Amino acid sequence: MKNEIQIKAVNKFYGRKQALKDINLTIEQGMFGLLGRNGASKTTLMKTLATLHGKQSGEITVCGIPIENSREIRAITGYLPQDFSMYPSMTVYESLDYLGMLSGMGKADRKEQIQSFLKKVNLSAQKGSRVKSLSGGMKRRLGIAQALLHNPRVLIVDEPTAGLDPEERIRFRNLLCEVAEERIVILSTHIVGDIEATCENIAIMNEGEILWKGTVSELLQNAEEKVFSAEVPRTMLSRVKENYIVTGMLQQGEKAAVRLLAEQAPDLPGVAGQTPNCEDAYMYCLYQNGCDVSGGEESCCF
Amino acid sequence: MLFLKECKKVICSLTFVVYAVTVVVMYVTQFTDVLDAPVLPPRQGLDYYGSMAKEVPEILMPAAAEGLVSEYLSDSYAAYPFGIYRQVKLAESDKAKMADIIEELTGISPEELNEFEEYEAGGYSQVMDENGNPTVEYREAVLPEINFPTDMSYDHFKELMARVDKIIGGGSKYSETYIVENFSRIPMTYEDALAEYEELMQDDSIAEGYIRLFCDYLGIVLAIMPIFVCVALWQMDKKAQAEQLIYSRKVSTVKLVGTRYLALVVSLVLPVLITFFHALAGICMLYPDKDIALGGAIGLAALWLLPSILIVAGVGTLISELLSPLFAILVQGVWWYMTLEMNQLTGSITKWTLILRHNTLGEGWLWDSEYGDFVWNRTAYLILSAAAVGITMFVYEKKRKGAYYAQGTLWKHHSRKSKA
Repeated sequence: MKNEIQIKAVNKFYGRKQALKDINLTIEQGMFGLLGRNGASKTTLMKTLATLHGKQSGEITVCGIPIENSREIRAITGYLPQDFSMYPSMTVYESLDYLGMLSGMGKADRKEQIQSFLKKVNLSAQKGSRVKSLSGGMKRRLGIAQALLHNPRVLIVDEPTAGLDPEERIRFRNLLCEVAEERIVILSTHIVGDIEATCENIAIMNEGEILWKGTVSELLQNAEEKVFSAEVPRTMLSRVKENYIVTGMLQQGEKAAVRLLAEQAPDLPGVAGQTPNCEDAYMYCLYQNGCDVSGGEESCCF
Repeated sequence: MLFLKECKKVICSLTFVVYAVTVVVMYVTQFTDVLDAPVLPPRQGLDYYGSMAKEVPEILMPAAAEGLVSEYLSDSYAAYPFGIYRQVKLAESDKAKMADIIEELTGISPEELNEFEEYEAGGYSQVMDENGNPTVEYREAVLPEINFPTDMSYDHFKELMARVDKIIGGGSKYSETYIVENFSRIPMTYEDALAEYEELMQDDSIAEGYIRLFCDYLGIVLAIMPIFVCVALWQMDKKAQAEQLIYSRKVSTVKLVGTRYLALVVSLVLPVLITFFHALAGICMLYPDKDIALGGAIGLAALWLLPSILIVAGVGTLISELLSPLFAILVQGVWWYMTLEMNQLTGSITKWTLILRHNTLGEGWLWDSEYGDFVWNRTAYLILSAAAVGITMFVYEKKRKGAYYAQGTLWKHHSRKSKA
């Protein structure tokens, strides 16, 4: 059976609130990025795929298996939740052994796989350490090891790099790319850099809807000729922010270098067209779809 | 093996250590004294050999009538429906019916009864002696003069008592189950005491007597302490934020919940087993010439104590998963306290009592009379435990599929919002 996830017209409600709105998506083998703000319902979709949430309507098949067959889906799925944690007093080895057992693995298989994955995630030296003594990065690596232990065809990772230092984040992203060679890896994040560095195919979610789906290059192409830089006096900054979507800002003395999104070249001092990066393209996509992107957490410096 | 891993999780928890220590302390402080020396035959010439319940109509009828008058005047009737204590206050119409029955039993008219103002309840109370020291004194109840009709047949009396019990709502002191125990106790003679001793000393009943006492004490601990171990186990996933990890694994809910429950029960049994075999060894050493019936002793202890562990663990598991661990502790605490408070030291074995009491080596006759209810009680709790585990499996499966959300309980179902 082909490694593919098909999501057709899926809707989900929490009481009266609709969390997933008519989701249609096809996810093929390799890295797939699910991008969106906090509260976009990414985790709901991830949990639905991991059989931890039900849906009210629509159809989902994972490698040809309907999502309703939860036991079969769980056998081929590895899940790393947003707040990964394990029993603090268990050792790293014991944790993996316990979770491997819950995945139905035999003793010999567990032993072999645990050794192999501990090596892969660079935790061999910590196999006797208690989970509570691990650093944040080590815990995430333990998380990825447990998710891959039973050799799943689908790996679902929810916000895996939040809180990691840059070095750990890069190491983690590389690890995900490695394992994506022979399976589907769905990476949910609100950090654009993670997607840019790892995924070819992406979908952008907002308020339970898929706003956009395609490849990263298509997303970048969509924002071409929409990104500009300008050097404006600091006194003009508030007016610029009011009229344009500012994706970056660097203040230098009396002047400020701004990076902004606009449909046409703005009438500003020192304006120049720029090649869009993934963050610009993501912000433009949100803007294009009517989302409020003025200021807030999505802006960053360049 | 998953079972062993779950056992390790239970046994390595602090709550289990506290539980095990409590079991051992209860055993050592309450029971081991009886292993110091063998039971001796009664000595002749003593003033008192204890008392026993025996159906003697001449004693029972006037005593029950007196008890009924006292409860009528205090406007409060004790009842044990389903083995749980309840104080009953009658409606005016039922009061009138009760007064008519009392008139037939005592010759006191309803008017006289209602106008009697000198009533004082009898019983034990603390008073000061002449030196100003507190002392316990027994005081007779102050009641109107009772003339029990000499021509009343025992059968008619029993009919009246059945009506009284019905008016109270069942399970009263006047019910067929409790009336002899409450109103027909007679002092034991030397011969009665000797007969009881000889019955206890029989090869097949000597261990039974000791094990009954062992179970009486341990039963008190096992009706409350397992709830803490149980709640700690089921809280472990939530506390470690590992619920979603566990939910997303391939393992079936029946296997996971069943294995955890089994591991919990087996772990809880371990300290009991240690104390039990210590007690059994003590009994064998105390009576080296006796052919102790070990099988019977083991069977009795298992039938007495295992359902206690099973039901506390089962109900605790269910309430923890369905509602909240705190609520599970609260429910068990109230259940335990009420049962313990209302129970007598012996003669408290009913069909629904959680804590069974037989706090004496002797009174085999009482045990024999209660044995039917004992078996009924323990079987009922075994079935209820299985039902609780079955319902837990259903609830857990629903939670795994997000019915109550990952961290939620039934009550939180509509209140939590997704983090996504």
